[in-house]
Amino acid sequence: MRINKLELKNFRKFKNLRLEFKPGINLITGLNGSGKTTLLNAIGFAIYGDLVNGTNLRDNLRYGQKGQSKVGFVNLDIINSVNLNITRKIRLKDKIASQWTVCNGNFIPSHSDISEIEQSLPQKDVFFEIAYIDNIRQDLTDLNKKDFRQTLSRKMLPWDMQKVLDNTKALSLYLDTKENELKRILDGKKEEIKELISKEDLVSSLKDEHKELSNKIEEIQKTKEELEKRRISGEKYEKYASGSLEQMEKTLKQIQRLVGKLKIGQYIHKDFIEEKIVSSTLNSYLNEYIEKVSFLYTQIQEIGALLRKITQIQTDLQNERQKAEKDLIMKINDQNRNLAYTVAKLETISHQISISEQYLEEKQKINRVIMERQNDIEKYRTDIVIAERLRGLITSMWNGSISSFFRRIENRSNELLKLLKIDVCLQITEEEIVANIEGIKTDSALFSAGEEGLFNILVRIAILQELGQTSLLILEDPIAHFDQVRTKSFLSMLNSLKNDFSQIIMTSHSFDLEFDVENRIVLDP
Amino acid sequence: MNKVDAKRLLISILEKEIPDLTKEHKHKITEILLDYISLLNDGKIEKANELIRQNRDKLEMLV
Repeated sequence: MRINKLELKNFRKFKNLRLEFKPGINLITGLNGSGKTTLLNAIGFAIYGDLVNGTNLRDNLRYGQKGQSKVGFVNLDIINSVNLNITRKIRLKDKIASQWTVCNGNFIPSHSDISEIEQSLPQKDVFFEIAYIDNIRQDLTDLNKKDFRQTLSRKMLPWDMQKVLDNTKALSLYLDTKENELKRILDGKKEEIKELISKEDLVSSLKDEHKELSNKIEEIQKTKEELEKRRISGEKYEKYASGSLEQMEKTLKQIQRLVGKLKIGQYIHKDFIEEKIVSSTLNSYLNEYIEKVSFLYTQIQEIGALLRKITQIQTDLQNERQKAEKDLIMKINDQNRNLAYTVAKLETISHQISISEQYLEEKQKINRVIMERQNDIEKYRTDIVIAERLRGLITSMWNGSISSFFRRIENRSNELLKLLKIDVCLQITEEEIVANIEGIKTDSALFSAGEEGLFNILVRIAILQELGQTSLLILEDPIAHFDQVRTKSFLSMLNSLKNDFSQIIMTSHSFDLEFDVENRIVLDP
Repeated sequence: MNKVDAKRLLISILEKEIPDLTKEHKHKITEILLDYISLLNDGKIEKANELIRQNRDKLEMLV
């Protein structure tokens, strides 16, 4: 990449200016106020859209004899794999200045952003090839910027290490969040378990009650059976008594029939005696028979009395049995009611127990979940520790790459120092470079202006060499603080850098530089 | 620096940080770490965590 042409119209002090640049070293010389810095600023304005000197847009419009110009522009023509033509136009209307940008014929809506220009081009990162060292006395703190480090990490490692490190933090955050999420779930489950443990006590008391009721039911059943037995045995006794009575009545009837017969025999006997027709044998037989009848008659009397007694007993027994049966039936009914109530209660308790047992199953499940979550938390904790360790290693790796980068810068800077072939006290060390980049003042603060300038420019050139993609180097008066000897050496060194940079544009107020350059531009005061 | 150089750099860091790691472990961990960095570079945070989990037994040596 190289600048081919620069055209200015009504830009600062220039009314109309057209300059051509060549490959190699382009030296712009002129007295103070001739516009050397303005030219570099114009190049910077064309490329970056920023006014490097920090002036207002309006202040860059030229003031002529007729007052301030209304329109001005900078046009830069760049030769590259894809040629670029950038125009930055400033227009003043109603005392307000506005800016317009056109790149390769395309209007760029947001004029101040390089990326906007790159968006309109097929080739990206074109401006990466340009290094604008605008003020060599400035220290290198700008290199401490995050975007510089990102660029550096992209150069040193195949990844965007800042992004990687940011994402290690994001991963830690992700793991912390996950762990906390799991802890919350775990706490919730522990609460559930507490509640279920109280249910466990309930189950235990219900089971006791269940057992008690079961025993009671057994007892009621026994009592009921006993009462039934008693009721049944009462019936048997009554039947037995009733059977005996029947038997006795039968016997009584038989005896009565027999007695009847005997009475008839007596009458017959009486008749025979009266008729005197009864033999002595028959008479004795009849007497015997009459005795028997008398005996039977006595027995009938006794049996009759017994029968009456039995009848009375039976009546009493029946009454008693009826009363006892009534009592027993009442008791049995009571037992039945008691049994029904107890069974219902038992069923309720059984139901409660089955529900409670479900709670216990639930408790076991929750316990399993708790175990799993605790394991998960342990895993996340281990992940967190590992992730932290890996972050440490990645940071070391990044620092290692940066550190090796600075070692190489140190070597390159000191090689450039050797190329100068001058005897200087200056020694460029890695620590000095890093300290300078970090903005820490070290021994370099004791450098003379010339030494500090030399230190800064050598380190910057070394960085550009190491990064390797810069082809256009723009230097603003790099030799401002150099004496003649150092100037000569520096210019000679610049000549040797033509392999690294295809074009170098530098300014100087010294006209008398004995220096072979490809293009020398002299500005009028 | 390409990925091979990155690996070399990582191995040298591991040697410095954990001197008693065997050569085999060093290379294995470096491979995992390179994949891990690539995933983080692509913003795949959950996959990076997955990678840690899958290789926890090897990475626990670092802790």
